[in-house]
Amino acid sequence: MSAVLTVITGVLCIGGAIFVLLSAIAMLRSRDGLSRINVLSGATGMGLPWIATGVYIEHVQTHGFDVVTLLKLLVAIAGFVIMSSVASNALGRAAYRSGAPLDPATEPNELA
Amino acid sequence: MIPNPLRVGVYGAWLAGEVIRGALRIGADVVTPGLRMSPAIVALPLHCETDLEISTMASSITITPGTITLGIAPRTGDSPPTLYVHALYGADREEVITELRDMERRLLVMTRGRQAGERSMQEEPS
Amino acid sequence: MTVIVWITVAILLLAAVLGLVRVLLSRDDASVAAVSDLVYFCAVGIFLMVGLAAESIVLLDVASLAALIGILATVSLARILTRGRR
Repeated sequence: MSAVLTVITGVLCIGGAIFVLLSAIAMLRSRDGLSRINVLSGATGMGLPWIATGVYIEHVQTHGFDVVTLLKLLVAIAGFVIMSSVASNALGRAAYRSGAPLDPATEPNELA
Repeated sequence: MIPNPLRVGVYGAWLAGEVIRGALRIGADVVTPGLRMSPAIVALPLHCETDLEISTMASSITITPGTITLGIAPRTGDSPPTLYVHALYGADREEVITELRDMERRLLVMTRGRQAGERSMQEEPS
Repeated sequence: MTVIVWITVAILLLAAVLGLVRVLLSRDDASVAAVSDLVYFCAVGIFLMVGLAAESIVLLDVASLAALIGILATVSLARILTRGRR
């Protein structure tokens, strides 16, 4: 049982880190600021929640289960998803309004 | 008005699948040579009515890798509430709109129930 | 367990370094804001993993607080981008 849980923890933690890494590579290769804000949601929407879940499983294994910790995990996951998407909305709007250079291939642009 | 928790769970699971799919799509593009990204900004008139529906839709679009909401135009006169969406793979405008419409249909099914949600998607937003 | 922790930390560090390379290559303001978000989340992930190795018990408190507070930095960066206008 313990070995299975450790494997699940490993998959969640390393998988989550790989989502963050994919976001970073996409950020490195994409051509304008808006695209970089765009690809960030892969890291915050999947990467960090997976790592938090892996940490929770390991925590249950060493310290035992209790409801408060589960609640903290749910708050953390909901926080990562909701807060990061609201923040990205604000950041994307600000980036567009501040006249950040757009990829010239942006076509169609219905907000112009 | 609190949506049915079961429907919230169904929508959340579907959204999680979309996030994984979008992240893997972008990942597969950037780790292979050559870049297929061609960004686009499209206007999306909404069927959503309440503030909760509009802001949930905007957040769902943003949390999916590959699409992000740049601005929300509230209802003014005859024009429906409109979202301006930056899509990373926007070469085909119709495809982007179709995927966003599918997300909106699922969202309205969550907030209004299956029949009312499907019915409000039938007509053009106004 | 230790192996998992260090592999994850290495991947997250690599992600943060890639983000910093991006800032060095091109420094338009929107990219810098996006990279600062990425580095913040990498730091949270690294903290969680190192705490896991040290068997700390406050990890999930840290995770939930980091998730709830992270919006402040991003929103203030958004205000800086627009030079204080909304």
